[in-house]
Amino acid sequence: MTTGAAVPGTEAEETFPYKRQCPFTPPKQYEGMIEEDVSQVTLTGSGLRIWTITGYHTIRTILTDPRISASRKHDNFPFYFIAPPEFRTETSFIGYDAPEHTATRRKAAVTFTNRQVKRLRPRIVEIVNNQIDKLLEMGPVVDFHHAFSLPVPMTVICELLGIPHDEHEFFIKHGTCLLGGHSTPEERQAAIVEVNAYVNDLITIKEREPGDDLLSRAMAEYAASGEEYTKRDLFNMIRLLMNGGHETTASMLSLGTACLLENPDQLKLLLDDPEGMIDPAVEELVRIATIGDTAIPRVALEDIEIAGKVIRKGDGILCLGLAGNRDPEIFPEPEKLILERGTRKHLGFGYGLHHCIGADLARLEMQIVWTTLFQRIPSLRLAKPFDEIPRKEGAVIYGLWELPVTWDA
Amino acid sequence: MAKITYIQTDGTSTIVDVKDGDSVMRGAKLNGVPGIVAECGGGASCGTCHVYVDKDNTRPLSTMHAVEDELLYCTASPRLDNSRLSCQIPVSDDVDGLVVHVPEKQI
Repeated sequence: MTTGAAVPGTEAEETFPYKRQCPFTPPKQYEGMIEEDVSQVTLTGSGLRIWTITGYHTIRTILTDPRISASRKHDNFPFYFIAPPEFRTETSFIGYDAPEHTATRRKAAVTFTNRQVKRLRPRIVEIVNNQIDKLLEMGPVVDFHHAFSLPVPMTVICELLGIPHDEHEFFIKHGTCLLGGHSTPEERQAAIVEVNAYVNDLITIKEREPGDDLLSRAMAEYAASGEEYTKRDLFNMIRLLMNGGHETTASMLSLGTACLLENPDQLKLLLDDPEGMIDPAVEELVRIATIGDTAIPRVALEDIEIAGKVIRKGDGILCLGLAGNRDPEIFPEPEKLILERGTRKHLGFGYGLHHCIGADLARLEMQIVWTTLFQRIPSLRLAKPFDEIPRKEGAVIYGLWELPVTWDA
Repeated sequence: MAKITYIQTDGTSTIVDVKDGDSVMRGAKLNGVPGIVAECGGGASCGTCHVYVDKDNTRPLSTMHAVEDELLYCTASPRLDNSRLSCQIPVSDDVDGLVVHVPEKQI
């Protein structure tokens, strides 16, 4: 049995996060970490020594253990970049523990249930088709990521939240800054201030004239529950849902599209039976990409003994979903894309109290895109080799910086 | 600590001791009770820990929030008047002896 004191790493040691071997292959370093299940790494930037959890079952156990916290306020919270103060105190429910988490998340959750999300289908079909029309007007060749993957979920989430269309570029720019991994702490702090100022004004408008949108409903929920809200509560929630609602889905749309184009046999299976195959296909693509691999940070509230190790009270923990999603006992031949085996068992949307609130919305968007896109543009293909496309290494949400595509005009 | 009884569709029942603060769902998962999938692990976002509370129950259960109500419209087995999501029923001494029925399917 070993114990884990948080000690600074040495300069010689390679620091976390590590580079993926390819967008769908975990970093080489994960091999040893997977063997150990619970091990320690040193974080880039903060230099913190933290625990990583890689086993599928161990991750699920940790993420449902009431002795772990998602609160960013803890000193050893495993930020792997230098976090501005707003990242520690202004997170909304992603960084809260129960009961505050439950109460705040519920204000938004009603909008994202399966039943509510299904009602959006006709509008999302329209948004996807409109964006394909624009894509066809722009090319070939076109950067699919900026011309399609970003605007589709941005339009959907803005309409849900009650944000006017003309502000999409503003949120795309700030979302990339906050989650993209190439920004400085100063840039991230400035982005938070700008977004908060914008949402602050929007709240004032919605207070005067409520609409059929999440922001107006959340304010009504607060009123109905007798709780008082501050504008700060609301703009933190909106910022979380904006970033969580577009950057993630956009990453999946680009990575998933590239993955399907790189696996033509699997794409053919989907095209031959889109209705039967689309549900498992989406789950398998989410599993193989696991874009939130480094996005499940926690802190131990007590000493926790797990997998033969003792995680000490106050130690930082990262649950590496990409590693868990490569467990061969759960997913035989885990490196292979096998669309027909897709199930919801994967950890691509997290697990436990903080399971992705927008999972069903993201699923619906992906389902509509991948059953429409290849039908409308059958000759769609990458415009340069996949391994030459720049990737967001070290980003909170993994993805591609661009995805040049072409087709037979 | 409370004793919770989970009854399967074939009539077999499992009685487990569940800690205060845990949910009826977590009591089932920690003790290997079959039929409670809990795909999301307690995030109130999947609706796969559906149970039917025993008709004779008189114990005070947590109030159903709108999110749970919404999710119960999409369960794999039909929603009945006594349907609940077991992740949304916290356990305390007050619910000692609670009996829940596990539906035929969750997915």
